[in-house]
Amino acid sequence: MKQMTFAEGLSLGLQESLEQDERVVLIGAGFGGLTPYRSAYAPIRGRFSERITDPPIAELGYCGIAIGAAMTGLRPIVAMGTGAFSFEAFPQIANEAPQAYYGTRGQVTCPVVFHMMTGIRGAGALQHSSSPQSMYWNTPGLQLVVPGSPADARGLMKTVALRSENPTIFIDHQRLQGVTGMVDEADAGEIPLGVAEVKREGTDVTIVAVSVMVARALEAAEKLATEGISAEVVDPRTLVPLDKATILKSVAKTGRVVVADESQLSCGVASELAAIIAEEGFESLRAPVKRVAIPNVPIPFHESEEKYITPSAGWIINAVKQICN
Amino acid sequence: MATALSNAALRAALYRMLLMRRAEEEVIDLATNHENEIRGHYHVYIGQESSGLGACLALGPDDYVWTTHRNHGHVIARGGEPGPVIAEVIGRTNGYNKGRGGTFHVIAKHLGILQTSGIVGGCVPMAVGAAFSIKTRKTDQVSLVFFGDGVLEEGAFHEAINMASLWKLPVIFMCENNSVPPEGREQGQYPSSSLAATQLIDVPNAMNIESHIVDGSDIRAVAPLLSDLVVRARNGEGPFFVESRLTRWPGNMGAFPELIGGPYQIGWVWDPSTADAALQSWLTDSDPIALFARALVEEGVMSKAEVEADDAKASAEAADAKAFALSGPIPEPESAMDYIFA
Amino acid sequence: MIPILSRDDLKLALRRMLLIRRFEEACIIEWHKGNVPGHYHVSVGQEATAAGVSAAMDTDDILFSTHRNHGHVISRGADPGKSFAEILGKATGYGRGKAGTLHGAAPELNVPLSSAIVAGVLPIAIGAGYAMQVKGKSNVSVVMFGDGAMEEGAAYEAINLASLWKLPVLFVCENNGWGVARVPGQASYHAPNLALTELIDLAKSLGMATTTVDGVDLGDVHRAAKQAREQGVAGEGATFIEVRTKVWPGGQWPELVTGITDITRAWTGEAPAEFAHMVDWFKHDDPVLQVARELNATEIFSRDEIEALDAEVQSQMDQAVQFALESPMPELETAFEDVWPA
Repeated sequence: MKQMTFAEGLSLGLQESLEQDERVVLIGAGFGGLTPYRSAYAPIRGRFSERITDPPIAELGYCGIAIGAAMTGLRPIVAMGTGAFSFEAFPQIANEAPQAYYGTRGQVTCPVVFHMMTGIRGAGALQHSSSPQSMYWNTPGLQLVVPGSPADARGLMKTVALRSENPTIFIDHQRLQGVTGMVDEADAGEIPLGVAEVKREGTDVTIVAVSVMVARALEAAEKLATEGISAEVVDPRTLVPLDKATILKSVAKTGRVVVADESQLSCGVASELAAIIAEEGFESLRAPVKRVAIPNVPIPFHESEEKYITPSAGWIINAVKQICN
Repeated sequence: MATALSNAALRAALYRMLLMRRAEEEVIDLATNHENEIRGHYHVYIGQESSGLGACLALGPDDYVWTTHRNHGHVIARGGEPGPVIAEVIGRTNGYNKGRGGTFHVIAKHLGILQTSGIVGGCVPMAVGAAFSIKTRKTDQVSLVFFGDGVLEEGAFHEAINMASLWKLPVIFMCENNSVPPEGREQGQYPSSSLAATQLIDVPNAMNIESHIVDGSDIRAVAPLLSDLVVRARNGEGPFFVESRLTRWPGNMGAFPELIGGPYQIGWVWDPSTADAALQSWLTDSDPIALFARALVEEGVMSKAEVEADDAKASAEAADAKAFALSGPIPEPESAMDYIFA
Repeated sequence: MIPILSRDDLKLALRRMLLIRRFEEACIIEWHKGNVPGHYHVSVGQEATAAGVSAAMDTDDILFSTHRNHGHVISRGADPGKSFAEILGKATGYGRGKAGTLHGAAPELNVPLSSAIVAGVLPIAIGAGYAMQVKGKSNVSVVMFGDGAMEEGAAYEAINLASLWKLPVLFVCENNGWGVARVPGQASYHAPNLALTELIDLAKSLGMATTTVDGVDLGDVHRAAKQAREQGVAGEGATFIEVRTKVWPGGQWPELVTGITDITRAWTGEAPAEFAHMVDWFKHDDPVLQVARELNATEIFSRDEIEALDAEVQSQMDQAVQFALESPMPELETAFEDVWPA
C-alpha cells in the first residue's frame, strides 16, 4: 500500500495499460495540464514514446482518427487536454463513436477513450473552464467515467483501456491532480464500471459526490462530524453505467441527500442524480434533495468572482444544514 | 503497374455495374411504389458505377472501405449482394446492418465497411484512423474512403489529410466529384461553386499529397490507376488523393432520385435518341454503362445480345433482391434498447 | 525598411511598439511578484506586426485576436492601465475583470474579442467581414493569429469562405516558428505539424492572394497590410499575410532572458556580459531595436528624441501598473451580471 497523488495513480494506470496490451496507443500525452503534478506522467513518455503520437491542433481530425483506429484493431486513448477542446471534436465524439455498436447491431466495436480535464481550474476564464460531462451523459452510447481518487483513477483507466469495448469519456480535473490516497500496487486494482463506493460511512445524511467534489465532500464530512452531523459520502465513480443500488441504499439509510458535481446546475450531473433519487428513492426521503453545482453562468476570470461561483466544501456543508436540523 | 483487365473480367465488371444500377432502381421502386418502406431521404449511385467498381476492384479482402450516405453502389461494388443491401435500406433484419442503419448506414463488416457516415466528411478522419491502425499494427492493408466533392468544404477534411500526409499513412482519398460536365472530366481546370480552389486537387497538393484526376465514368481509367495506387500504398508510399470526375445522372438533379422516362432501357445504349430528351446527352457522353457497353461491343469483347442478356440477368437478380428484402423481418420494437453497449 | 508614413504616424507607431514592449515587461515583472493570475502570453518580438498592421488600419476597421493579444490591443490605442487592470482581473479593466489576459479586448476601439481557442477567432472575424460586405462598408476585418491555427479545420473553412465570397478580410498569421531561420522564401519554414511546404500554400490553393513578410521589419509589415486593405476595400477579396518572426527566447512561462529593453543597444550594439549570449537577438531579431535603429540611421528621429519617447512611455506604463494594482477587484455579485443583455 502506498500513498500517491491522483496524477501518480492515473500515470500508473496508463503505464500498466500500455505494458499489458500493445494495442493501447496514446494520441497526445499531455496529462496533468499546467499543474506541477504533470511530472508524474513523464515516465509514460520515457517508457513508451513509440506508442505516443503527438497530433497537430486538430481535435475533430484526431478524435475521428482515434475512432477509426479503434474500429480497426487498436485501443487508443486520446489526451484532449482541456474539456472545452472536446467541443471542437463534438461531431466525431457524439455523432460517430456511439453509432459503431448500436448502429451495427453489435457488429462493430469502438474501444476508444477520450480523456479530458474539465471544470474550474483557476484563471481558466470563459473558454478553459467548461464542464461538459452532462452533455456526454445525455449522449447515449458513451460511457462516462469520473474517478475522484488515485486508486479509482488507476483502476478505472485500466478497465476502460484494457477491458471495455465501448467509447468512453474519462473525466479528469486539474484540481484533482494533487489529491492523495492509498493505492495497492501489488493488486491489479482494476475497478469494474457501474460500481459506486462509499468513501465514508455515516448515518444522518448522504452526500453523493462526483470527481473533484469527492475530496470536497470528504472535507465537508469531517467538518460536519465536529458539529455532530454524521455524513455518508457516496462516490459513483462512473456515471454511465451508474450504480443506482448503492446510492439508493445510502438514501434509504439516511433519508437526506445532497448531490454535488462541478458542472452547471441546469441539466447537470447533480440534477440527473437528484431526479433519479427523487423518483426511485422517494419513500426514503425525509427532506428535499439538494443539489450543489455551479450556477448557470460562464466562468469569470478573476479569482474573487471565480471562487464565488465554484462549488466548495462550504457549499456542501450549507446544503446539508438546510436539510438536517 | 496493373495489367489490363481480361475479357472475362471486363464482362464481369459490366455485369456488376448493371447489377448496381438495377438494384438502385429497385430502391427507387420501393420508395415510390411501396408505402412506408423508405420513409425519409435516400441517395442512389446511378451514373457512378464505374468509379466505385473501378476502385473496389483494386482492393484486397482485408482492406477497409469507408463511404457516405451514397453507399449502396459502393457496397455492391465491394462484393456485397444486392439482397442484404436493399434489405438494409428498408430496415429489415436480414440487411447487412440488421436493419439498424437504413440507407445512410449500409455497413457490412465482412467487406471491411465498418461505417458509412451521413455527416459530410464524417468518415474521412475515421478512414485515416484505420490507416493509422494499419501502420501501427504493421500490416499491408489499405484504407480507402469514398466521399463527394462537398467534403472539401469541411474542416474535418483539412485536419484528416494533414495528419495522413504528416504521418505518411496508407489511405486513399477517393473523391467522386459528380458536378463535372463532360468536357471537364478528363483534364483541365474545373471550378467549384463552394470551394475557392480552382481545382479540387490543389488542396491535397498543397498538403504534399500525390493527387490524380481521373475520368470516373471510364472504368478502364479508374481501375488501373487505383490498382497502382493501392500497391504503392501497401508499400508505404501513401497517402494518395484521387479526384474521380463524373457527370451527374439527370435523375439525381432533384432532391429525390427520379427515374426519368422509367427504368433504364438497354436499347438506349445503342440509340440514345430513343430515350427521354433530358437523358440523351448524358447517355451519349457520360453514362458509364453506356460508354463501357458500347466500347466492349465495338472491340468485339461482347455482342449486343450478350450485353442484353447480362442486363436481363442483372434485372432478375435485382428483382430477387427486392423480394428478399421485402420478405425480411421487421425488427422487434423492444430491440431498440439492444446493443447500446458491448 | 521605414514605412511610408508621415513623421507623426511614424512616431505613433514607434510609441506603440515601445508601449507594447514595456507593457509586456511589466506583465512579466508583476507575474513574478505574484500579482498576475494564471497563464499568460506575451508578444515580445512581435511588436512590429501589431504596429505595422495597425498603422495601415482605419479606426472603423475591426481587429480580432487570440490569447496572445496584449500587443494587438495596445496597438489599436488601448489605455494600458485598463488593459493591465484586465490582466489582473480588476473591475477597472476593459472586461471588468471577467475576461483576463486570455480574452483581451477593447470593444470601444473596435477590438471586440479575442478567442483563446486555437483558430476559434477566424470564423468570427470573417463574419465581421461578411457584415461589412453586406452593409457596403469601406472597411476591413483584420484577424491576428498564429501558425498553430493552420492545423485547425476552422481555419481552413474560414479561409475557403473568405476567398469564395471575396470578403474584406486580412488574415495576419504570425509565424513564430520555433528556432527556425527567418528567411522568407526558404522552403523549410513550415510548422512541424503541418504538411504544407510553405504556410501560405493552403490559402493559395484556395485562390486567395498571399504574401510573406519579415516581422522584424515594420515597413514590410505595413506595406503588405496597406495593400491588402486596399484590395479588400476595393472588393477584390481577402489576403493571407504570413508574418515571420523569430520566437523570443523568454519561454512559455516568460522570463526576462533578454533583460529590460535598453533602447541604446539599438545604436551602441553593446550588451552587458550577462546578455552577451543574446547578442543576435539584439542585433537582428528585436523589432523594437530594429525600428529605433532604422529611424535613427535615416535621421528621421534623433537618438535623444527616441530615448525621450521611450522614457515617456516607460513612465506611462509605470502609472498604468500602479493604476491596475490599486484598482478594486470586481464586486462578487457581478459574477452573475452580463450573462444576458439588459
